[in-house]
Amino acid sequence: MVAGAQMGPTQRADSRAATLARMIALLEQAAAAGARLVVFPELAFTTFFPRWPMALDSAELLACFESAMPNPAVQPLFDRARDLGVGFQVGYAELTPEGQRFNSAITVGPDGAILFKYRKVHLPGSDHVKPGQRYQQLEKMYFAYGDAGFPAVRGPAGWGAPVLGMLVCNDRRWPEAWRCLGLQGVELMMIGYNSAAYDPNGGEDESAALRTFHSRLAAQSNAYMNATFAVAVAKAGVEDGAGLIGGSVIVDPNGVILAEATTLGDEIIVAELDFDACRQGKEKMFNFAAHRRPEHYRRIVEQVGATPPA
Amino acid sequence: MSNRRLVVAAAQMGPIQKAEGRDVAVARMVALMEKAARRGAEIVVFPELALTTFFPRWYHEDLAEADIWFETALPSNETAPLWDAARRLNLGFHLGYAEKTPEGRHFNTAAYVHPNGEIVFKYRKVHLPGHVEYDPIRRVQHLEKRYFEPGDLGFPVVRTPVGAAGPVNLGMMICNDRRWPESWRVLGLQQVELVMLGYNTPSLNMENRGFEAHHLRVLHSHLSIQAGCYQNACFGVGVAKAGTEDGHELFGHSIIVNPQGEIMAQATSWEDEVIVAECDLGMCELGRNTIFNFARHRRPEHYTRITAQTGSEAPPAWTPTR
Repeated sequence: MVAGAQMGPTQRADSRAATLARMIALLEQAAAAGARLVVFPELAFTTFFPRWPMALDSAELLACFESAMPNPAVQPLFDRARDLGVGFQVGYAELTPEGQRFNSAITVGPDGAILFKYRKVHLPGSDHVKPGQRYQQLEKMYFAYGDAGFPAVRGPAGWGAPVLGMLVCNDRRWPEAWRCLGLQGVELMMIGYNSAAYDPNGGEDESAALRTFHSRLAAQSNAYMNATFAVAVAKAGVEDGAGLIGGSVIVDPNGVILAEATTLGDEIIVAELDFDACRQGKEKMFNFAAHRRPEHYRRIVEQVGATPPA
Repeated sequence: MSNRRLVVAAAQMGPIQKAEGRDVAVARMVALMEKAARRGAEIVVFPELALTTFFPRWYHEDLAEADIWFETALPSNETAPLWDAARRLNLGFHLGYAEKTPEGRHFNTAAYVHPNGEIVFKYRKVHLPGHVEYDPIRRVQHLEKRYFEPGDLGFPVVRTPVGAAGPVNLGMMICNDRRWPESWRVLGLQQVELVMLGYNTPSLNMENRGFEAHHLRVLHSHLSIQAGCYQNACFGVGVAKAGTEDGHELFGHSIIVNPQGEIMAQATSWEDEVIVAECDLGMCELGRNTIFNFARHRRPEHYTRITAQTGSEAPPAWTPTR
């Protein structure tokens, strides 16, 4: 049994302690529903701070980062999870001892030990403040690109020993990211996101409904094309006037939605996963060894941008 | 709204029985082209292997016997009416067919034909599903890997004058290719604006190995096309040969999809049916210049597995530390 712990909005002025208390309450609720693994959103401990311009060395920005994981500010979540025998996945802003900053996620086992870490590869947004915009998207300014690829590990026996992978937010729209995990036999994808409920380009081209559809489509199609379960979890609602979509889902290897959040607040969704359900896809339609033709995929690794035909 | 507008038709076809000749199929196709033209279409997309029944369900021990299903030249006497209709109606068209080359090689191919009758470019199916030898477990054979070799042309995109829109970046794939995000991405990396694809997809899983609920078959097809269009900021036309061919059912549900992944038009029968949508090609620019601006956002240094390995490889196992 896995849970998605969708979180409602976290305001810029909210205290870390108040946010952590909400997360512990969600963890307890998920455990009570039978979940052995709980998936929290991207940057779960703070507001989505890349919407605000801040000096790179400002105290407010630095306070959004974790310089160790766990650390005293988040330790109560780790402690409660271990007491309950529940593991979890959580997104956070990582500050390394060398001073590098990443948009990261970790998965913690039921024993409280960190199983593995992922650093977001596909950073959206801008590397500089765009004048005149009400909300910024400064991920390219605040974070370095993930430097560790797309790692997969086999999870604990108590979870059914699934092959686990993680993505963060915008990564879920990139089939390359899913495929790199699919090529390691991934059976459970864990993804947190903070996705704007408005057209992030300042226009009127995209509504909250369309952006929620994109989020669902990316999770469903890529789960299907890699024959894996996926848990995609939002931080949702209105943060200091800026809307975030909800629509957290648990998806099966056929791309079918097993559970979906219905609010924009703190909400648990759960599903019981049978990892044998991945085998139909992995052994037949998406038997990669039998059917893939990498000799025709070279553009995917040999060029970055699109080049028009002659 | 841009002024680059292209009226696209999907010409879904009902079943073609094994005993029916190409003349029957071609006459139906000309009727579909006439209907599409009346509805303002500038380009018509036909299904995969549109001229015959879906013959890979039939086993020929002697491969030479299967040559009856292949075209050795386009146009031929039998297919010439399609070329005549294209010229008469000023329609470009996409045709799926079984190709036998002068060297005797066999491909599952699609051609895009300009209204003046010239073949602009071809695509040969890369992702062949199925198997090589007769499979006694399957309910129905699926012998594409027996009758065809994998395509050798990659995934070409050609900038082609079509209708009033001016040059349009056209790409093609065939049937099972649509389930492979690599196919879409290789086209996306060439700024494709319209992906044309035909399919013959059984409405039931015929492998007889494990369970697949029947209703998922259409979902999978639509998810693949909608996601491919969204993730590559292009339009897509997915066109079925549908209905019951010699007792074997193929689903329809042909769709035209916009770069947001939304379905603009969908067939509702499993018969000959034309669906039409006006595609504002300017819509491709939003995704291409923002969220899917590949030059700004792709990280190929982390994608090396996609070409460095073919099959999947298991990750290291984790063991408890305490």
